[in-house]
Amino acid sequence: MRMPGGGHLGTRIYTDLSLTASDNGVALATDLAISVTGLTRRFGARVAVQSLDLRVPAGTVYGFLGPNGSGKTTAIRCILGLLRADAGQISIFGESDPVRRLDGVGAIIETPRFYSWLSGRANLEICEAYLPEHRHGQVNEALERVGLASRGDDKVSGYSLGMQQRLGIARALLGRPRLLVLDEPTNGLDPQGMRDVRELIRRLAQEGLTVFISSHLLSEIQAVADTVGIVLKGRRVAEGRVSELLRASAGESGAVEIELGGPDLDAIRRAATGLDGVSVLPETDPSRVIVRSERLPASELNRALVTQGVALDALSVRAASLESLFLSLTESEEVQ
Amino acid sequence: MATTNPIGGVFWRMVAAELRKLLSRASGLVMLGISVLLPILVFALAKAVESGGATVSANGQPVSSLLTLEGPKLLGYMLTARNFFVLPLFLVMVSAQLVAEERATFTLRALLALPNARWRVLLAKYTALLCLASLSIAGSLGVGGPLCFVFVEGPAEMAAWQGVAMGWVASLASDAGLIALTLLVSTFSSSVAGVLVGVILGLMADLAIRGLLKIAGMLQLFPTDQLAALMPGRALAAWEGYADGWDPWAFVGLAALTIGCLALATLRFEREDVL
Repeated sequence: MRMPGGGHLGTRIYTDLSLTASDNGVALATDLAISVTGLTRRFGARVAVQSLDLRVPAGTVYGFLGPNGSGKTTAIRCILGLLRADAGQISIFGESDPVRRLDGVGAIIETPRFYSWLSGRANLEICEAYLPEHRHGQVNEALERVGLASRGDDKVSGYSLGMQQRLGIARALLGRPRLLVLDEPTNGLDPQGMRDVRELIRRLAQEGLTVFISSHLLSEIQAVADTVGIVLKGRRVAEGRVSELLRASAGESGAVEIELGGPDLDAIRRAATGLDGVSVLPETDPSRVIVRSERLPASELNRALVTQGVALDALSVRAASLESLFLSLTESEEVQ
Repeated sequence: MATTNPIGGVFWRMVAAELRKLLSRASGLVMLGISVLLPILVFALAKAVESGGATVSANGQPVSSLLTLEGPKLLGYMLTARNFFVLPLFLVMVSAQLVAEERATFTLRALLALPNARWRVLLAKYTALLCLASLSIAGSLGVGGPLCFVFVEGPAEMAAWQGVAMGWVASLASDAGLIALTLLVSTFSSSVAGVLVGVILGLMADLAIRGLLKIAGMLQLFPTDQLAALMPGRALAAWEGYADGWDPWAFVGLAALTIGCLALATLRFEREDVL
């Protein structure tokens, strides 16, 4: 794995996605489940997606991250042919024809909707009728995989939100797809439901399916994704393996994030800002100050703050997370 | 791949799936129920009038003296009752449900994210609606035909039966035009009510234009008869020719209306952004 440009390219981070068999380090088109190049989509004067490039390696779980309104759903709809792109190329497993590329793709786009007066099984059968003939005969299996086999003959109007979400996943699994596109698949699920979906995604990935999952729940993505792409304001700002991105985010020096607590958080912020190689990260918890230390280990940081007369009652080193990477990218983008 | 045969096995499965949706909804079932009940109602009413049980009069004359109860005539009344307002309204409603309502409830999104050209999806919906219209006509004719043939006395020449039978066939052609018009309006609106209002306003405008054409004809400004026959409202009533004499221009208008509306609806549907 190489880091072009040493990891950081300004605020943008890219890692080489040649994750499949390509000796020369350049991913072949056939190695990619999804390839998006220069995708642009405008709504009137507003640019929702701008020159977006994505490379989703086949057989991986790819997390597609971005804040609300960053263009994730627009990009997904363009990939699925629901929205027309103003510019750019999209191919799925090397196929760029807007209809043929969807053969072998299962999708959930936001909250899945159904014909509420029909049973879950009937809904799946109707959808299956629209699939090519060689992809028929999967309704029972799909219901079983999401744990709805016993409720399959009940009307969807009697399903809870979580059951509808699972039925949506069953619908996406019809026809044994090679690629699953899941836009916020854990919406409306309770913690148990979220865990079930996470485990299902892991199982599917083990079976060789490519899963493209969009979510704003960064911890969820970190738990399942091998690779992530982060978009802000319609543009990709980072893409690569999760581990590589976190390493790149920490930098060569091995920067750490440290959570600080004390009676006077403003004083902690002021003192930390004045320390060499220490930066204060955007606030996510009003009772804590999170700093990023490039050089000082936690013990040295503690000593330096106490020396300045700042009282601390909590100090903990945080594991590198997508959340911190995401927040630092968001902050950099806002500053720009 | 399914797209190699545009109207192969998968296409008919799509049609069956759409028909299943239609026949599992109250609106579709009520439409078929009315189609069956309407001829019975017309038959009962006609029999009541004939037997003098009804004292309804029109222009000072008892209706019974105006009514000729022959089999083909009664079947014609049944056809008129079937095509007067209620069932066409249901047809517009169920057509709007398959496109406009599915767009509003986001169920269309799941279908359009599957590997099918959009024109096939629209054609499958259109074909399913035509099947429903055929079932409606078959229901009316299946009940009304035997009632008229078996229980109505009086002379009836074979030509009269053939004429009214052609009226029922032409009625399916009119339904095909109405469905196409509704699908076109459905590409502009995301609510069944919006589509209903759109179609009704459109046909009212058509009626007004035909009125103006008639005035222009009376003033001999330009030849207006053929133009009026080509107007959608007149074209959709082409089935009336079984009683008034067939107007080939009305069928030309009906064909143009059906093909034109389907083509425009497909163009719009193909280019539509699905949210």
